[in-house]
Amino acid sequence: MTPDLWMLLAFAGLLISGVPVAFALGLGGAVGILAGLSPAMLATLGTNTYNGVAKYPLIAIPLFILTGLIFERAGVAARLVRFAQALIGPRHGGLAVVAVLVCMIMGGMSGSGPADAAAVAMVMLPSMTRAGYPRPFSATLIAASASTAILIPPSVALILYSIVVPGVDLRALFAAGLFPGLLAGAALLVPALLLSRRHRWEAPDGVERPALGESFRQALPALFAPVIILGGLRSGLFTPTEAAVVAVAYGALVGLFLTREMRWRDLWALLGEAAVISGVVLLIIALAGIFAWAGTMLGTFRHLAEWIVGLSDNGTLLLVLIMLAVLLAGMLLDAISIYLIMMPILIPVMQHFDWNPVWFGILLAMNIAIGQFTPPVAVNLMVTTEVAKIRLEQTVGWALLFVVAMAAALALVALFPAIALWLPGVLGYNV
Amino acid sequence: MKHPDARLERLLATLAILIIGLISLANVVVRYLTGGSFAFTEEFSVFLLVVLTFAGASVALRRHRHIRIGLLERALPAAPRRALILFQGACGLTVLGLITWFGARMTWQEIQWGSLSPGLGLPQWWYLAWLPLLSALMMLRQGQQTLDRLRGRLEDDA
Repeated sequence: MTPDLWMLLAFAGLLISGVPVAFALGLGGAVGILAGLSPAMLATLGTNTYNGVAKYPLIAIPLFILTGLIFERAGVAARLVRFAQALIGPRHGGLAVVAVLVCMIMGGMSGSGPADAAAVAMVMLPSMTRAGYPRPFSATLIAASASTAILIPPSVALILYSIVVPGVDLRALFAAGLFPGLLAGAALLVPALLLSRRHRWEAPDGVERPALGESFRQALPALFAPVIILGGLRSGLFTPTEAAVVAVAYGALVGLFLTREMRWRDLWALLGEAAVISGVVLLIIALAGIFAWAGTMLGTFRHLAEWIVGLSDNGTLLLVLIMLAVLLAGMLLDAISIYLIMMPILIPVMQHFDWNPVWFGILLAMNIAIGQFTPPVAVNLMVTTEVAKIRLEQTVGWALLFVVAMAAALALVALFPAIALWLPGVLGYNV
Repeated sequence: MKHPDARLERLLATLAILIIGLISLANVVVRYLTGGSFAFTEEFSVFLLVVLTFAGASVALRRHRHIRIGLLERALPAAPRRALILFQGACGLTVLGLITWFGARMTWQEIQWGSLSPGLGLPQWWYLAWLPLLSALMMLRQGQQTLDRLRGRLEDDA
């Protein structure tokens, strides 16, 4: 067996055994070093582990995680729901539209899906159930729409992509994610609305509609958050890290003084919670550095890339195969791990076929988003079924329907790259 | 089910993210008031990020919240499952042991070379020493977590 194979098999074996992804990456790298290089080179477990996270751009990750947690705690989800209800009014499928919209706005404040899914599910599930929607349907819809959070800026996954792939501007990625994210949300609405009309869920009469003006005033502070983040980035006022910290400060002010649903003690607890979640993410990044170093020194990634390119001359066919592989990975793992594990292999393939790195990153993110609500291993779906107190198996039928819907959106972005690349182009970013 | 915690690391991680946030915020304000920035703070923020990573990861390790694939484990009957939990614990201890050992060696070399940090001119080992310290602490947390899981005192979610 070659050292390449030793390393990859060790990594895969450790993953299947349920060893945490971070440790599997570090140990896999160590096995590769022992099999193909020299034991003295294990010293990289000291230097590379430290340098893997000692990078300034990574500071945006804990800060955006904190932003999401603070806005959820500040009670903005309930206010957004009331405003969206006032806007849309009671009609067949009205609450389904509200759920998708609110998930997308929450995605514009936080960088990852599962937390959004939990926040929206807790607010929306009771009223959706009362209006006659089956629980499995509502849970799946919320899980699916929350998965757009990794497309809609700010996105922790896209921050990482811009660090892993050389020469990609994070602001361009953020801008490129916006329309595919909105498109994915819209794609979910089509089956949701059709089903609601056919099954006559949510009778249009007998439901009180919140007053538009009052609910808008209540929702305004929350609606302002994405404006600060995106506007600040666009105007060049802030770097991504600065935008994150300004959003944290704004969210803390809203929660402490405006909605008053957060106390100083809660803020301290949230800082700790954000630090622990960041620790999980950043440890994976630190130890993936060892894996990447070993894979590069051994030439493993080059060999794998050459193998993939050798499979076919047909770029389109390979793109489809890669998308299927990433979708499968998305069912098992989170976006950060997937980018870290797959990008060293995929970057040479991407360059070989001259694919646009921004567009490619968005396509991968859409795939990962779909994977987050595809059973059997679906992080977002696990969260919402937990809130709905139903079993994951009950959602499979609905989930497949939404998978098809979002896959259609993905196909559109793949066929028409302009959906992703138009906005960053207009804003003058380098794509 | 109880929810164990690692209070020392939680405190460290909370302080690290708080200071990172305050430094970044101060940077934005200062840049707007004076047009200049204090770039030397970058070195300190990056160091705090390392502390945040390993202290936060230590809490997550104690609470068994690291991202992993639990499919096989859930499919196994009790006896082989205990063996698997032991194996997972051994893997964690191995990788953390390697990091602690080589991190300590790296720190020791820096002490002997006496190199100073580029931004603030502090001894480089003041920064580096935190890696072996925190990863040694993580070994302790890994041990506690494995024992708890073997005794069935820790939930296996995800």
